[in-house]
Amino acid sequence: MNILVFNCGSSSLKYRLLSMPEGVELAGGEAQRIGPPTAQPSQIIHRVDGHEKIHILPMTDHAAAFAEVMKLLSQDPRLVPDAVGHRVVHGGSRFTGPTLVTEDVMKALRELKDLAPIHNPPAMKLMEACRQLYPRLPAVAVFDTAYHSTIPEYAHTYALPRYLTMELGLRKFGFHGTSHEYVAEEAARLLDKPMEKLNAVSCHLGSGGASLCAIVQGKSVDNTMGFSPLQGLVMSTRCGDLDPAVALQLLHQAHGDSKRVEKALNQKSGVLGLSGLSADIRDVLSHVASAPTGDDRIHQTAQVYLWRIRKYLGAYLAVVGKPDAILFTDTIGETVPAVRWAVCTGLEVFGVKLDPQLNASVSSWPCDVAAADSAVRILVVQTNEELAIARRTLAALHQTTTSYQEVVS
Amino acid sequence: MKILILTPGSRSLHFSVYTNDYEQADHEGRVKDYRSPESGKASIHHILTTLQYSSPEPDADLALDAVAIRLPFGGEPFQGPTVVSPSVLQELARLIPHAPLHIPVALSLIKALQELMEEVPVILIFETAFFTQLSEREYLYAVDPDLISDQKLRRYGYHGVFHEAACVEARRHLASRRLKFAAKILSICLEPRPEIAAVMGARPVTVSGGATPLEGLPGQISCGELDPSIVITLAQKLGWGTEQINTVLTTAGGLRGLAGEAVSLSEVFLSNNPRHQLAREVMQYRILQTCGAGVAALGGLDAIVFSGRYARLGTNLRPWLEQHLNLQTEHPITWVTLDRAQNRLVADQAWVALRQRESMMACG
Repeated sequence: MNILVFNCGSSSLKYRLLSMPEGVELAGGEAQRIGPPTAQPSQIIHRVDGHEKIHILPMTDHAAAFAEVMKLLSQDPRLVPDAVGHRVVHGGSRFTGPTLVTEDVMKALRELKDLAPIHNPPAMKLMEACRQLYPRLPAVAVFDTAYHSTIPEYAHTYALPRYLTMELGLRKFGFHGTSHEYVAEEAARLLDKPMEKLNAVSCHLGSGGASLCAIVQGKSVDNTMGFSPLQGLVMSTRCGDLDPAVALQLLHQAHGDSKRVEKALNQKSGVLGLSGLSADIRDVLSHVASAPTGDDRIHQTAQVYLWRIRKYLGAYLAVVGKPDAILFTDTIGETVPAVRWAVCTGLEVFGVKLDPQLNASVSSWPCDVAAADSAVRILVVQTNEELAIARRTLAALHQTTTSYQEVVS
Repeated sequence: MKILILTPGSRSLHFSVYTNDYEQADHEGRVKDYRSPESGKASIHHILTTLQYSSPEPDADLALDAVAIRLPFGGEPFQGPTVVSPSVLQELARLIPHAPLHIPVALSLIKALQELMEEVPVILIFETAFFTQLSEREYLYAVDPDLISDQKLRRYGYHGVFHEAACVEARRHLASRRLKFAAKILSICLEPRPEIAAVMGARPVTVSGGATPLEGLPGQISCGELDPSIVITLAQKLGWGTEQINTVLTTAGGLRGLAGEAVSLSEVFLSNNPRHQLAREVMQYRILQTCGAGVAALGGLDAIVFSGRYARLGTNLRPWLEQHLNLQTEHPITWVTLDRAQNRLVADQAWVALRQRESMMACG
């Protein structure tokens, strides 16, 4: 079965056509600079059998990008999708697992749009276009929040009056769930443990967003992101944790212009805001590596970024209690040994001992960089959100057919 | 030695007198409606009269050796107990924009004290002083430093007097292990706004408080840490102004919000009321997380010390923390409780400052 997975960014669309259940890629690529025309034209980098080709095409929205991607795929008869898997950031409290997209689901998602005004709209556009152009192609929505639906009440409740949390749906949702769940499954396989027995802290450190997840018996019990993806770690342009009084002060200073504050905290803060140099922590770290001592903003940024991860790692090691492993994934987690070293060193009190040499020489994934006598394994695992989405899509389709057959028989 | 301690609160001015090293105060009381600039002198006058009447010899001199004023905020300039001088007053005046509620009141009290008791030194004790030593990686936020235009945006802690004394006590217990400068201490201050600090020797490494006391653990009525986008959501969805949001976050959140009624930290921990269960679970969980973060920051743990007016709740928290903090430490963790009144600790700090001043004057 061929499953076409879509992963929407605000101005990009990544896609992969995977042959399931093997997970072999048949085609893939990325539509870039979707939206009103800019100085550079919008384009699709399309990849078949490992060969890339760039197609310059006007794409004013995600619906147009979707149509162009489908056109490119239709040029090759082998590349016909049997089902589509959509990554959707926010599933609210209602969607706690992969869900077959129906008109009812679309309606519920439209209502949710209010909750995730920044994150869901492109994916919604895409799903609508998909239903219109290919009404008979089954589509499954896979939510970033779904894996975190097991976070217990005491960890997802903000200490606010109940009438407010009820009225506005204020609670911790947690994000990056698809990735955390995928690397946890990989880790369970590596450690030869059933997923239901895995206790771990998963560190999804992307070049953009980043979050830590506490996992007990294979289930998410906490995530550093909160009601929105703004809370928690220092990210490329998001501030992460901030005194709520400071957010209020910014709002006051902006004369109540909440959009401006929202933009400042989401797009101009984090590594970019603090360093004044770059939104990419790798730029900051390489600057620090070339001049190890210094007291400027760039050195401070590296310190603050690493310190925040270290503190949350300690918090979640305490929450998990008896962790089997710490997992590192996504761009920074997989490819920047200095980050893993800085946040894991000196944690022997938690039974964590990194082998600096192993850590510095990771060349293939997955890889265990803990010292032989470390009670807690330290695993570097490549995330593969598209494969994870394809798997969930497949599972959701099977479930739907099974229950359908049960009803029929 | 006799010290008058003044604690300016939001509604009343608390005063107490401590003599020598007695644990209990000789006198204690409150003055209401003291916050306007004109009422400073009347308030001090009222306090002095009250003390005079209640002393065994009403005609004798009060014989105060010093007056200490406890202030919640002193910013970066004030790194310890400070004896008031003209230059200190100037420095304090410069802090007004950063603490507009507290500093003007303190200035008016100081002025009244100087007018009524010119010869008695006034010592300022700042709750933030201990935390001026935090490192940048702990005190900086990941925002553009120029985002907030009129002040330096940084983290402090707001129970410095308790934390500092608690860590002295913890180090005393660890003395046999010769840990002095490198003792790794978690200081859990159980006040209506609880606060946890991780301390290495005498130096704070992390603290749960933030740029204001609102951040960190939930308090009895304050919300503690939130996703910052919740503040934005309240403005956007409800059309609330900053005052209204501030009132809810600082007075209707915390244990009160979770339990649906006003409730103290000790009620939440000691009663079996099912309505308080969520509040208790949230509080315990956040304390555990904060402790875990502190241990990671310290890279180990030697002692956990409880202080604050609910310090004795430490005996309830201890089994829970022992069960969940699954640490491999070289020595068993030393558990300490500092069950002393805050004003007693303030008096201690004031005395140290006074003695230092005297020895400096003797030398000079």
